[in-house]
Amino acid sequence: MEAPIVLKRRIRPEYVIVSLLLLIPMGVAIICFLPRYATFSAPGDIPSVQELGVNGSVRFCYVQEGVVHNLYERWSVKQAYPEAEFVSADSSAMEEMEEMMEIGESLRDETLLHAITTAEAAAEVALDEEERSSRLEELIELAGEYYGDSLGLMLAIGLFEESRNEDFSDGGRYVIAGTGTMEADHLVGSVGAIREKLLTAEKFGADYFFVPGDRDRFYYEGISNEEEALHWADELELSLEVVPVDTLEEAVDFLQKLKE
Amino acid sequence: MKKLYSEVLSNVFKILLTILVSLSAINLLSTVVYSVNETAYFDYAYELDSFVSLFGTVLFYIVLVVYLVWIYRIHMDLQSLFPFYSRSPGMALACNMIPIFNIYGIPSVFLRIGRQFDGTPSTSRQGQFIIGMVAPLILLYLLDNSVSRYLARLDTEPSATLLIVSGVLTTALYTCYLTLCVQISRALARSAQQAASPAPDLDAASGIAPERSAVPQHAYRLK
Repeated sequence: MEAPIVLKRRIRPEYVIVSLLLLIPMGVAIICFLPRYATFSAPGDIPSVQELGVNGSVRFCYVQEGVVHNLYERWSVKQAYPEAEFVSADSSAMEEMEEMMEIGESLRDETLLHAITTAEAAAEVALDEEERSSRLEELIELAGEYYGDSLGLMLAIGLFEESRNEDFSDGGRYVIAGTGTMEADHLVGSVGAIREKLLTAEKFGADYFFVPGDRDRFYYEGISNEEEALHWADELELSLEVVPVDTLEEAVDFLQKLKE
Repeated sequence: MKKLYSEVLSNVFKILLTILVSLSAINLLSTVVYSVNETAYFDYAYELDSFVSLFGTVLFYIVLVVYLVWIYRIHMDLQSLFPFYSRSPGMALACNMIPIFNIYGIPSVFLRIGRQFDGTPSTSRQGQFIIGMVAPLILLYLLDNSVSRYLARLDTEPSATLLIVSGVLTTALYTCYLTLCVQISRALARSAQQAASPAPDLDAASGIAPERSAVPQHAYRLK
């Protein structure tokens, strides 16, 4: 009787080596793509109000904010914005961010309208309804890439300069930036990310930085914008001067005195 | 047949390079999608592209190490098959690794290998192919390096055209290495086969000399 022939299938060594080697990039990729949410903020820029079609010399300030899903995205953001700071978050962070952006868009449109009406009142110029709405549409279109309402104050100063044919920067001698909303009652409203905005303004050489003078009317948790800005300017030893203002008129007074 | 030092490693290198070429082709395709329709890229290709980029980057460094070992091993084979082969494995490694010198070193390594195979009838086709690949190889190597360095130094977002150019260069460079690997391992296998077959006996009773192509390389050298 013949013994049964047992066929042994030999695994080729190259396949074993390749499989083992491929485990390395696969492992790295899996670790880097595991969900690990974080929100980040990084310095942005201080663009001129001229980018919004306003013939003014002042600048508004924005910061970069967003959500990363995993380590790879975190690394990519760090490459793009080396000064970015991350705070761990959970999976709802993305939804919250989208919600915030939606709200931010409608708030931005509101502050644009308030900036127009406040500047009109301060410059003692009256636009008719049609002019006002066409200006608003133009501003909404040009401000489309920003969300949030913190450009209100600086836009109002820019519109004031345009109406009065002023140049508060004195031919570029001063770099004037700032943040704060423009409310319906013509007050300068509170905003977020004060520290990052101050760092951004400092980075781009701002001499004066307007913040909401909200020490006595801050309705949120924590310290007011005014206190926070003064604290960080001192703590970070910034060379710019923090200027808290309550209204557009206060800001304009300061700038007119500066020019004189 | 004589066992080659580089046999297993050549196969490993070929498989890894094939994967690397495929990954860089996927990256290139994603870049094209990005340039045509940014929204479609972020909706459908972004996650795959990111995964492939990361996987490819890590794999690239593994392939780099395997390449250096492969270069060393094929030179061990070349020296064992052709005792008068003039480049040592260490020197071949140095030619590939020393910065700036490798602009001369890399083409010179492959040119010498190509010429060696070209001089042997059974591997002359591979030899000529390898020699023909040297100029595109160094050209792609220099261009790909320059574009990558330029992209790394850019402060602003690079244009889609530049990204596509970089992707095309990288894919072409990897393909060039893969082709060289295939041709060299094929030529080495043929040479080893011939080395194992008996040397021609010119004093045989028939008096007929074997065809030129059938004569092993070492038999020529001993003449």
